[in-house]
Amino acid sequence: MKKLLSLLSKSLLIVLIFALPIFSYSTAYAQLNQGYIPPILSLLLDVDSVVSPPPPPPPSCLDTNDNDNDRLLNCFETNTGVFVDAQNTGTNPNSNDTDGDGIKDGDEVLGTLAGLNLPAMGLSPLRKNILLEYDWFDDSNDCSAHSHRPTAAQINRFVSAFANAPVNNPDGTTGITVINDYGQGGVFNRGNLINDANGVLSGGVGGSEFLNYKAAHFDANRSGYFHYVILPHRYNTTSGSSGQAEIIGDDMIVSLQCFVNSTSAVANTIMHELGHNLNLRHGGNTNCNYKPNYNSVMSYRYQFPGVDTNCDVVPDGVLDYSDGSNITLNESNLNENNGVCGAPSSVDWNGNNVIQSLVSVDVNSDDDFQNSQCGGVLTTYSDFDDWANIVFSGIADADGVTLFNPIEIVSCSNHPGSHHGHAPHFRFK
Amino acid sequence: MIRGFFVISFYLIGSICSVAYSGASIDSQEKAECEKNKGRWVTPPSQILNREVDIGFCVFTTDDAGKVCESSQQCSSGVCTSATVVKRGEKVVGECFEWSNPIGHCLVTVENGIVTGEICFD
Repeated sequence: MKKLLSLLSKSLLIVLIFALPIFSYSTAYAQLNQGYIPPILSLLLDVDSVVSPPPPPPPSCLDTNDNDNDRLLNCFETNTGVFVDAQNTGTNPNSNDTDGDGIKDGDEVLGTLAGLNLPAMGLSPLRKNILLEYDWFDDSNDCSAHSHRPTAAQINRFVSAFANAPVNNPDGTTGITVINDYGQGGVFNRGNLINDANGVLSGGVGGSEFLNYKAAHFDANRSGYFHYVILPHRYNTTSGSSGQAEIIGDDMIVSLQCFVNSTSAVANTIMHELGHNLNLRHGGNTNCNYKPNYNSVMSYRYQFPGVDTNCDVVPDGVLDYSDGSNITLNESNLNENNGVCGAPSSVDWNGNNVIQSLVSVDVNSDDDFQNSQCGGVLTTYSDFDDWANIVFSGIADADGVTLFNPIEIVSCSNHPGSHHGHAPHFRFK
Repeated sequence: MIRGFFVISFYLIGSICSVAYSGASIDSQEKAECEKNKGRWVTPPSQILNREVDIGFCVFTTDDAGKVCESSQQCSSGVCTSATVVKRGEKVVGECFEWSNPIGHCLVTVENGIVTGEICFD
C-alpha cells in the first residue's frame, strides 16, 4: 500500500511537471491569439483539423508586438519574401495579408482560430491562394444517369489557368494557387454528393434550397476562406443556363445539364462563375458582352470555345482571363489593319474581303439588349486587365455582410429588336 | 422511263432537302415568331457548346414588369431587383425584372425587401 501511494504521488508529480508549462503556454497564447484553441482541445471539441500552435517567442525575439494583428509576432514576420517556418515567415509585419489574397498571414501560417488547417491544405502567406469546395448532384435528367462531380481533369484545367496567371507574388513567383475540395481525400474530404430529390436546385444562389444545402454541407469554419460551388443538373430554369454567381461573393452554381463529361465546358464554366465572385463581369468591368477585343472566359464569346491566341478573333480553346493588352475599338472608326492586337493582325470587320483603314461596324452584337448594355449601337470597347483587377475579398461575404456597389443598372424598358444575341461572324485575314 | 426517273430523283432530293431544311429551321421559325411578337431570342452559353447559335429560347416582357416586389417569388421572371445603387443588406423597394428570363444579365437581387447581392445569370 505504501509502495502504491509512493508510485501515485510520483506519477502526479511527473504529470504536474509536464502539464503546468503546457497550461501556462496555452493560456498565454490564447490571450495573444484571441482565443486560439490548442490542438489537444481542438480534438476534444471535435474541430475537424489539427492546427499548429503559434510558436513561442524565442529569447532572440526583440519585438514581441503584432503590429498588423495577424497573430504573427513582428519578430517572426521577417519581411524577406521567403517562408522558412512559423518563426521566420518572410511576411510583412505591417500587413496582415502580405500576399493580398484575402486570407490573413496568421491563418495561412498557423491555421485559423476555428481549427481550419490551412497550412496542411498547401496555403502560403507569400503566394495568392483561392479555395473552393464543390458539392454536386447525381441524376438522370435529360440523358443517362450521370454525376455532376467535377473530375480531376476538369479541375486541373482551370487550376493551370490560374497557375499561369500574370500575377506577381511576394515570394517572387507568378500565378495564383487554386486549392479545391471535391472530396478527393486527405484534408479535402468535405466536397460531397448532395442527395437531391430531382436533380434540380430550386431557386438560385441565395435561394432557400441553396442556403439549406450550404448549411448542411459546408463547414462553418470554411466561411470566410472558401468559395462554395453547388453543381446541380440545372436550377429552376428550363433555359439551359450554365450557372450563376455572386458578384464579389463566395457562392456560385455550375449547372451544365448533360455536358458533365466535357472537360473544357465544366472547367471553363467554373472559371467563369469564379470570375464573377472575383468581381469580373461579361465585359470585364462592364456588363457589355461579346466584345471581340476582350479576350476572356468571362465573355460569352470565349466562355466555351476558349480565348483567341493569335489575334484573329476566333476562339482557340485556351482557358484564360484577359490581360488587357488588346487595343481599343471605336465602332464608328475601325481600322481593319489593326484588328484587335494592332497591325499587322488585321480583321475584316465588315466582311467585304477588303482590309480597309476606316469602316463603321457594330462588331460585338446586333442585339438591342447588348447594345443597351454597351452604351449604344456604335460605341467604343476597351479591353480589361482581369488578372490585375480581381477582387479577393468576396470570401468575406459571409452571405450578406460584404458591402458592395453595383455598377450602372441598365433598364431595358425598350423592346429588343429583331436579332438574337450571339456574336456576329467575322472574316479575317 | 427517263421522265419517271427524274420525277423520283426530284422527289427524293426534295425529301432530303426538306428534312434537312426543316431540321435546321425549327429554331429559326421559333425565333422569327419570337421576334414578331416583340420577344428577344436568347442563346444561352451552354448551347454555344453545340455550335448551334440559333438554338435558344424566347424571352418576352412580363406582365408584371416593374411591379413593386419584396421577393423573387412575387415576380413571374423569378427576379425581384432594384434599379438604384444600393448596398447588400439594405432595405429597398424592389421591382420585378421585366424579362421572362434573366440569362445574360447581372442583377441586384432583393429578398424580403433586403438587397441580397448582385448575381450574374449565365
